[in-house]
Amino acid sequence: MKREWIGIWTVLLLLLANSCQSASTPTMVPTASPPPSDTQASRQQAGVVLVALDGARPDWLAGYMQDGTMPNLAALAKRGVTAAYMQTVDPALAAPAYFSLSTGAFPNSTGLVSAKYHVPGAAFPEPVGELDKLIASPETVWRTAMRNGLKTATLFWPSAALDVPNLQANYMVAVAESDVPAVQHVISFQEANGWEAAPISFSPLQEGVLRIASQEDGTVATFNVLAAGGLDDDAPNYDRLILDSDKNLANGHTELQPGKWAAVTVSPRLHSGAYFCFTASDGVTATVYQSRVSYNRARPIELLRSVNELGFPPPTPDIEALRLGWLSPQQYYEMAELRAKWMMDVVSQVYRAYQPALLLTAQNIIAECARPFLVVDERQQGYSLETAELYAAYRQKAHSVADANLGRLLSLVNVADSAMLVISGHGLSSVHTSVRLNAILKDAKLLYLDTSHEQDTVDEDESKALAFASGGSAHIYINLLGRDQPGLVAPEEYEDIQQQIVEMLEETQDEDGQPVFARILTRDELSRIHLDSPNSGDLFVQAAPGYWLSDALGFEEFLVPSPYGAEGGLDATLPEMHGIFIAAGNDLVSGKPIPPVHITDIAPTIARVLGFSSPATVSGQAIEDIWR
Amino acid sequence: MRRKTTWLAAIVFLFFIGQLCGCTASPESLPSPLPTVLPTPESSPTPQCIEALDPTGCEIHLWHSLTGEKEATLLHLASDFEQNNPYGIRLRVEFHSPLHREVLTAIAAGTPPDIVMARCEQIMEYASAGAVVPLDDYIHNPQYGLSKLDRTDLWPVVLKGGCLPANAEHPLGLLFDSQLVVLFYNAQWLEQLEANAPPRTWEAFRELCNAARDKEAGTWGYAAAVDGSTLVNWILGLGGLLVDPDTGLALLDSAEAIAALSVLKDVLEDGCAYCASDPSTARADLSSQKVLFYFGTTAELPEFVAAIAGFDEGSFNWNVAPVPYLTDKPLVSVHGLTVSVLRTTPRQQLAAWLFPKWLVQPKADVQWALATGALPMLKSSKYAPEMEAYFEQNPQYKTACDLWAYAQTEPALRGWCDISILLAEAAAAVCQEHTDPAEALAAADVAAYDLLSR
Repeated sequence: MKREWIGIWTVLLLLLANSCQSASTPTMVPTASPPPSDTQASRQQAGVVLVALDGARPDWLAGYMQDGTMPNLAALAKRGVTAAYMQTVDPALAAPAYFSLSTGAFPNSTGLVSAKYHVPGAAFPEPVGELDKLIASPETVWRTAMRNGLKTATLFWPSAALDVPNLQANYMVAVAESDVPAVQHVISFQEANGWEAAPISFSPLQEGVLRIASQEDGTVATFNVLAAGGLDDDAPNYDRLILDSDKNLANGHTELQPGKWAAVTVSPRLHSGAYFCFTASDGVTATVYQSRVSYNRARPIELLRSVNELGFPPPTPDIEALRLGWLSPQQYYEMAELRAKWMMDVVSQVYRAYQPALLLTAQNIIAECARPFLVVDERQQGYSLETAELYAAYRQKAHSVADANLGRLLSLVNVADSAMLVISGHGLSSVHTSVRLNAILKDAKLLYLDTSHEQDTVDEDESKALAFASGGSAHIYINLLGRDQPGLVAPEEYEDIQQQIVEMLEETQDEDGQPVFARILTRDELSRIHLDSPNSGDLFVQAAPGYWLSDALGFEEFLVPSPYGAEGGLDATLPEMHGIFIAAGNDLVSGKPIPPVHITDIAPTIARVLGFSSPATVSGQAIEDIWR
Repeated sequence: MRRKTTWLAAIVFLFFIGQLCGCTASPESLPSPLPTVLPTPESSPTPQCIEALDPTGCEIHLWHSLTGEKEATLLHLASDFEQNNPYGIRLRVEFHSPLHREVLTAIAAGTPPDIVMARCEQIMEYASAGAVVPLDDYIHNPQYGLSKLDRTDLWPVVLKGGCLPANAEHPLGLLFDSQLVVLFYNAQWLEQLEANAPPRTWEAFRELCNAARDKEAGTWGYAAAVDGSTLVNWILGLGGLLVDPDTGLALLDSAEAIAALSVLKDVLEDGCAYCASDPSTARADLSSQKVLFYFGTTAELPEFVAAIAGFDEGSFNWNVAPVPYLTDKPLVSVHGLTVSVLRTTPRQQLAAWLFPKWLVQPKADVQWALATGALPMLKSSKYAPEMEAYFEQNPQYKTACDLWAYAQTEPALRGWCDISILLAEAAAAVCQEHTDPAEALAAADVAAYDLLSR
């Protein structure tokens, strides 16, 4: 009897222990110390997480993985596969590249032939770039996944569009901006009066007004500014600026300290805001940088409301403000870091809450820091050894932040079940000179401008050709009768004009007699690079390394020093334009370097992991030799 | 038997222990995504007793996209309201651009503004999400509403025209910042042509255009810069409809629409009219007495006043008139903004209503009209001393105010702004490419159908 009871209790206890055993701890890719809040989510279903490190290059990453700057990526690469590089499409720019990645199709199928292009039948001088202007483009991989019953999320993904039904995912977050430009405010002070709960100040309290205005000069918000603080030295100097709407500090205000970023809500009902930096003060005035005003957009509604709890999004780092001297390089870098970290806060929250089977997201800090800081060539404006070293340090920090953010996401993803793909849509190349294409066309009397308004515009009734440029690429359109509005060039004149432009560009050289264009293709040659789309120009041109193309109007000089350090859009076969591909998890093999992959292969590879077929519009193939 | 009972007890024991452990509990279910359209919230019906609400101390947010003088005047009126309203209501006015997208985002976020000044078709989109409060109960409320005298003093179109969708009973807001489509004409020249009044019919219009044409002197009868609103007025004046009453869809190729564009075709073929590339060209030509007629809006009155005053050969007698019409009375198309109250809480909604109510008081109405050139919303405003003084200097403005009695708003149809552009394109096709009016309007009708079907 006693033995019987012992037996029963033993069985009971064993059964209990077994059923109470929690899910086996997943094999984790080791991460750099994740923040305490990013704890392991409950077991998620198999899926794919794709992170685009925009602008990342294989040669840069190889170095940073080796020297310890990117330990998470290094661990991921060790766990999975690393391609020699990812071949992107022409032009090697974010918009067409990520759309080709998303659809598995070339630009001649997607129609997204650049960041800025012209569509047939539209008014001649009007460029488009929005995804909603694409008609009947191939299906994106997340839409195919949704058709197969899978939950998808596109978070800050460049090829998703909240307002375009056939580009929507189940969960989407995007950053929107009000039409409010970034501004450097210079606030003049006068004696302060009428303030409640004002702080103690060595210097006499002074006040001013800061008005946030739209592009059209509409008043978005107005703040009273109280200058306080300073040193006990009998001179008026201020180290605190207090922004307040009603001069009563007891019911809320925002404080700005010199050189530090502060987030300021601009429209409470919209949950929009701007970042401010108090950059200078001389006792009589204060200089404050105000960023663009941004807010969250998301779907579904409950996601919008939860993202708003994380606050409004930090803006894209302001390269123009850096160029104008409104911000220092350090302040610019801090903007990029703030935004990258906030974006990952959102991604982490969405992944934990919704556990989508397919998640696509982007981290832009590498590209955002390469653009101003890739100063490596003495021909570049502002180059010196000291500057090059300082900027290299910022680029390294950018990679480190991207890696840390990647680590946060990796701590949530169960790589036993899910595949983690880290890619970049294109690389970046250092540039030293900008080529003003429309100045060349104007000089050749193919382009005329209407100078009667504040800003020069294209005279579409006189102009025979016009360029739309992005980075190192440009499409040149001929104002063709019967195709364009108004259509100036008769069909019999078309080839002559085309040839005239080709010869003119071939003859354009720099001061050393070197051609500034590496590639000049006419429309009927575009099939070579899969750009033969109705949206493409009558010519497609790419700059030689070191150059990039501008379509600015109203200038005479063709070649000017570049204000930026890096651009994309050069010949996609150049090593500098290559992207990266590192993947681990799920059924992927471990620790294997693989040959170059193509960007159009990513969508079918995702489809393979998730177990559905790609539509017939996909040109690429699932990557071979990476499966167990 | 005893052994069996023991094992049974053990199984039951195991079951209960399992429940306590939570080991057999199913995983927390994941939230499912909500529908992708804006939700239609439970209607929070306007309380039976608005009087029970107390708006004291509320802060209300008004969003708009006005700039320049209009924004400055709005801010001034808002400041006046804040200082003088008896409830201590604070009014925060914010410019937003792009207004429509930002209002939709705020509605989705559950934190809409209290008041919005937007186009009717935009208001309709907010209403389809259940976000707009019909104003009837506030307008007629004995404590907070408009008195019978106030309501009678308002031009009917201000209340009825504040965005009233087809088959709807309650307007979605008040009409504000309004302008009328009118015929601008050189009265002095008409006298010389022995016409003692502006043309009442299109036949008369065509005759006078031909009479005014003089190739040698370089004068024309009509400078055509036809936008969508102008064409709408022509069509309505011919007794046409723009919305099919059966389908509720845009109807752009009716017989009346074709007749309207045929007038344009006829005067162009007669050689007494030209297509102006820009309204400013047409205005300049009328102001310098090269053109007899031009169709535009009352918003252009200040520009005409300035241009004619600056005309080298001195000013001349000119005025505005309703567009030629076949209906019994003139039909004058009006468009402007709709001021709407968005759904928040009953107390906030009441506080919000009190600002549009403020706007239709005489002082604010006159102030707005004089500062912006918009037409006053109150009939009595034209007797205000400041308005009378203004009429003295600007008699054309008084004529325009008198046309309010015949005002009719454009159709409250979603996508109307884009449809208006299609009408303008049809007119441009007739003007510049000599397209047949029926063909141009058929194309516009098809395009409108595609647009609304998306």
